[in-house]
Amino acid sequence: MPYTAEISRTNPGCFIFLVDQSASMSDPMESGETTQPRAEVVSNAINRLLTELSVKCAKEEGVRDYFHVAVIGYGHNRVGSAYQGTLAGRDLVPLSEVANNPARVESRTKKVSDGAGGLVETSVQFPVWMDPVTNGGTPMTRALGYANTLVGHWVDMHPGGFPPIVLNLTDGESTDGDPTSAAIGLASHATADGPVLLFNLHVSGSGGAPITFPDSEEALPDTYAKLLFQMSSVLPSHMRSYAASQGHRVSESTRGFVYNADIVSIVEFLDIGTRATELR
Amino acid sequence: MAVSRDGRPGHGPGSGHGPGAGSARKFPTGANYAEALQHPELCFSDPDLKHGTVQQSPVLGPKPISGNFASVFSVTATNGQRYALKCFTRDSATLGKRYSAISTALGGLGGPGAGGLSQPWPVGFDFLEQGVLVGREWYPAVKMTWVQGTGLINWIEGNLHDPAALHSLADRFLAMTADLEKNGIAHGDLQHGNLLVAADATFRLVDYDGMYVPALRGEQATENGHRNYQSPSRTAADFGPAMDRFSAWTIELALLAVATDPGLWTQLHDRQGEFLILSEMDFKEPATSLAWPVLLSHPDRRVRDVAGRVKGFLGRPTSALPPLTADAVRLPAQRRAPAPASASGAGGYGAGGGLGGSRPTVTSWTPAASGASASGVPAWMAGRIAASTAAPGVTQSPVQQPAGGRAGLSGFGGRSAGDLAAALGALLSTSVPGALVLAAAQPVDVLPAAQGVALLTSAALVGFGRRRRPEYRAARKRVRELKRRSRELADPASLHQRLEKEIRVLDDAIAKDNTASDQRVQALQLELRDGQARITMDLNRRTDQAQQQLAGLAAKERRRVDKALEPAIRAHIQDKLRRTSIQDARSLSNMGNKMVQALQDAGIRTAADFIGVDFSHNPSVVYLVRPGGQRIRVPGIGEARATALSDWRQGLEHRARASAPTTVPPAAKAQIKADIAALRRTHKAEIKQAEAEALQKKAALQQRITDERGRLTGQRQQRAMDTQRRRAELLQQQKQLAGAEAERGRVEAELGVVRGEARGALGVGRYVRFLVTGR
Repeated sequence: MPYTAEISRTNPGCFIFLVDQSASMSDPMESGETTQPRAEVVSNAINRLLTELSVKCAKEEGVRDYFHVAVIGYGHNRVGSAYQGTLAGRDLVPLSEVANNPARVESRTKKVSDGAGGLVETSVQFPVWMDPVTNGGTPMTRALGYANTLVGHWVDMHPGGFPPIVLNLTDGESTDGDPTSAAIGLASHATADGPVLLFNLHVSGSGGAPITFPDSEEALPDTYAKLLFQMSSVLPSHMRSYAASQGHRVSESTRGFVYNADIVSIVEFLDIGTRATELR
Repeated sequence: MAVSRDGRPGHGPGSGHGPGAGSARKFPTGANYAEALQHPELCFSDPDLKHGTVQQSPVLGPKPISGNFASVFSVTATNGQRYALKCFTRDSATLGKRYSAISTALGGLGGPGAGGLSQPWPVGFDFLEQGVLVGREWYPAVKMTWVQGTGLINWIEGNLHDPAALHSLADRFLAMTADLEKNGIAHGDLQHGNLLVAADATFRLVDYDGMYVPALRGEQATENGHRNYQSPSRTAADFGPAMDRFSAWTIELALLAVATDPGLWTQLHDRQGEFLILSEMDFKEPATSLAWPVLLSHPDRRVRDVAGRVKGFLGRPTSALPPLTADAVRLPAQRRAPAPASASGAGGYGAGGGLGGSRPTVTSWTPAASGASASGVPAWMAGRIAASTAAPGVTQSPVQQPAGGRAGLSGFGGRSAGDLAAALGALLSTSVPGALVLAAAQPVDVLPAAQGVALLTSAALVGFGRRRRPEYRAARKRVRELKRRSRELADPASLHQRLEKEIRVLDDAIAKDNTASDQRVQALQLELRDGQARITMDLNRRTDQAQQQLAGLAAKERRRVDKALEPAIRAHIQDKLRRTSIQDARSLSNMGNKMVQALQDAGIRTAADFIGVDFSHNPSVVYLVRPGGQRIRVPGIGEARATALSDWRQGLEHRARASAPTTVPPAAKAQIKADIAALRRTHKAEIKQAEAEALQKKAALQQRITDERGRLTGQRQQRAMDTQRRRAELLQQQKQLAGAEAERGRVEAELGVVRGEARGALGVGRYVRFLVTGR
């Protein structure tokens, strides 16, 4: 049965985040009571997820390398690592190194319950690995090609492992040609445990209702949305049941795709899309 | 044991937001808890925790230890007491109920000692309904006493070369599982991560989320345990007192195996692997496992026996497995006739109960790799080497059994080509000059000179031939050795040093060899795993296409049928149209007799005589299109009439289509079915072929790896035996240094004997006789 391989230090998993850094990512989107540039919402979500993964894989002796993680930005004339600080320029990085090397740890203020019915403002530590960048076009085809190279190498080194998962977060149409064949090429890599998974998320500022994890393209508004849907892999069964447990309606053909995502569905997308088979 | 029932009553303001029983709610993630725990004064209600200090990680704040469904944090209270706080990341409505039942059951066990537990394995806990405040809601948590202990894998690695310690740990493990069995309790997730070994080498069992106690009868399991410790047949329905048995046996087998032969750990445990010596694939696909053959053919009988039992459990339902008892892992001869499970539970804490003194005696083996002196032989060598070399304590004089052997001293044996050449040469050189003399009647004074040369030559040849004899060489070597030894015995201290050094070199060499071969075995395992994965990948790629073709065959068949029907349908429509006179068009509101006449005049007599109308170029100029494609104008037919005519004809066609034949003639249908069946067979054959090839490739790969490993094992055994023998000799020599003077006398005496023999039995005279007679 595909997508059941054990994820362990001897059999690590692989996440590649592709983050759109085009100019339009500076457009605002709603974030609670305020608005924030889309790029800021996305980089916050990725930073939070890297903390989440580090916590999930932490053991007595420290963070274990159950995963290797790449964060690749694509924007003006550039496709490459979006890590900052010591990890700058690196592609796939073992999770323990990620955990130990955020670019910085910010102190952010947050209102939390004071346990007596009121709210109190406290500061919380927030590790940061990537910052929002917005500039130029959306070279999605090149970004998928970049991921293709990383994935090809990974699959060759880990033929029996859980297949790599590529999560693409974008707000616009590809500006360097139809990405379909690049996506097909990427998903044609496979380990013995199944083909590479490509999940897509379309960020929106429009405020319309997000379409999360659809199982057909019928409800999708336009050809661009349909194209992203077709590029997205069907969710493996353990992610499907997790999505169901989180209140999503799913079927056997539910795909890893969110259209018109708001801030909540970005977090959900990352949470469901990086859900591993059991981690010990 | 500090086990309270339900934690503290909920009195915080957040309790109103608590979960209703049975409703699944989204629990905080590990990172959510880590963030909340940055402010213990806000997120806790328990006073110990509220004023406590949360242990921090180097970079990311509160330091978590995460499992599949929870993250654990370390909190030290102001009084110095350290707690482990377990925060759940997955909702379980029955969590509180379960922990309450577990608390009651464990509380009733009593402490360690006579009649109680074998060791203090239970860990005290409080279930806190209001554990942690995250956001605006309280979430439950389990507050446990912090256990100081070493994880099982680390402990094994630290004691790998202490077989006695490993054996007594195996006994303790057995005793602990007996405690559980006796009380009808099962842990649910016995695995290395949940087994801590305290400083006194007794177990602490942690993580009770999946624990079964009798009060939970009828419940379902919330988790199925670690995949590398479970029978493939375990399901959530197996929640009950027997659910630990498979994992218990697996762990006991691992402990016994590495206690008996630490090389098994190096060979079978992956560095950083989440298992001991067996993992999921060994259980799911035992046929392709490399571990089973190693264990099942291990020279140690008990390892073989226990491994055989565990392997036998693979096909069986977990509930049908026997409990792990001390008697079950004894060798048959040592088993007690009736062995009640409870008997093994009474070992007493700290006494290492269970097996006690009934252990086989192979435990004294300390491998050369440890650097310590070898005082025994590894189990797998037993019976393969002579007792005298297996046990260096047995007196064995190197003088009596020299390295070179003494067989040669009884004389020469078996003439070789060299001997024959020497004999021939000697014969020729002495006889030829004689023959010359006789033939040529040389002057007399020449004769002695020639004969002298000839005799010298033959003597040299005989001497050369004799020196080439192995017997002679061995004797010479022995003489040299004895001389050196005699010299050394005059200075016992330096000899002792030399022997010491030689033993060290020997130990280092074998340790290095063993490490290299262990690494090679591990590499082979990896090669097998990756190789099998690659074969599967290739198979998937090859069969994917065929599978898709197969899936599309039904649609293909429908298309073929439709296509086969098409001519019959067309003929039927044509026939119907032809049978409909254009006169019938008079029923149309805008068509009168005059128009019909005009159509007939233009050659349109039936509905089949035109196929459509065309006014695309100019709406005022209307053409009727004839079946051949030619366009004709009919006077009086404008846009409206043309449209009506076209609709009339289409209506006719539509009705005709409805009455058209729907079944393909039997012959055509049979042909289609046959074609599709042939395609199906082809694709299925392709898949079968690919599968068979993959299977063959996998078998070949496994064979290659198994052979290679067999070769390595053989080499290793040979090396170990050689080393042992040599080591025993050296040790013996060292031992005898005490009587160096007497020994020197013996050596001198033997030297005399060997020299004498070399001169006698291996002397020139004997050699010449040997050359001539072969004896």
